[in-house]
Amino acid sequence: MDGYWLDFGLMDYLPAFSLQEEYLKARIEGRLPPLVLLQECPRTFTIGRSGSWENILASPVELERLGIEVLEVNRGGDVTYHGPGQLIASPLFYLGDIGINGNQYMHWMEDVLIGTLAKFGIETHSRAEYPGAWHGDEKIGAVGIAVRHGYTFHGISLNVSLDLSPFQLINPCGMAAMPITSIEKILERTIPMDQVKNHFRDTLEERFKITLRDESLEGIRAHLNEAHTIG
Amino acid sequence: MDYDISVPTTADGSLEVKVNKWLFAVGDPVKPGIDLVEMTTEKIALYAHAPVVGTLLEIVVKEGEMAKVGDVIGRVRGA
Repeated sequence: MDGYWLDFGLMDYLPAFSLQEEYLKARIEGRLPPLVLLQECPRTFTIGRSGSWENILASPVELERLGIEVLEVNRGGDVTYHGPGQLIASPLFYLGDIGINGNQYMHWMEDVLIGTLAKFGIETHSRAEYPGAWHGDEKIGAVGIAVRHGYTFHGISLNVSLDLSPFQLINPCGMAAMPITSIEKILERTIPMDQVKNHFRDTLEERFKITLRDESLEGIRAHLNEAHTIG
Repeated sequence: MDYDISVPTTADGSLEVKVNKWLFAVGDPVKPGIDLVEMTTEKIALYAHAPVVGTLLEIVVKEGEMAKVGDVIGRVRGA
């Protein structure tokens, strides 16, 4: 299986997601190969479809002062925080190609998080009752996925090197006072984001038996235009 | 002709999903490719579509209720 790898770098949540939805639509119509989207985004709380505004503890005034945007999004899960220094990855795969169901896919993505962190010598595990990647009792990686017609979107977030204090303003994944950590906090040194992306990519390719080819935003837009023309 | 809307097989067969939100009301026109109903597990959001152009005939499983993979949750009448 071959696909594209597109790294947005630092980009606002909504424009990146808009392209994800556009590509997903063309994928469902059978016109484009798999794609993995990477991004970091400015300080944002997202509320998934199992979530509630009650799990955002900060007042609107405080959120505005801190410059944190709140978005309701169509992934599974509750509230989480995204910010610079956190890797967000969204694989647009077809479960029928892989031969697994949505729940197995979620666990495979946990495996990818755990395998990526192992490459830095960080031991993590999954927890049956609380999906994600955990270092001891602290959560370092989250999963929140969506499936439309068997095609996956949304994905995972991995705390690399970021200010973790905004997590104190929410009940992450609906849990009060959930301890959160990052690669930087555990290793007590800064790890370049590109190194994390490379390890994540290798682990993802291995787990899903897929080869991912770098593609630019312009290239993806060209593929979309071509797909629209064909369609 | 009437068509069943079921919980997609891409969900785990042993897992229950919550019918989170019907995005159309009974009697509304519906068509393939547009999300008709949203279901959730703890970490997964699942979307089902109408199989044909038509109208939403019946909501079998209401918002907030649980269903298993393969369960019929609604019906669409073809145009």
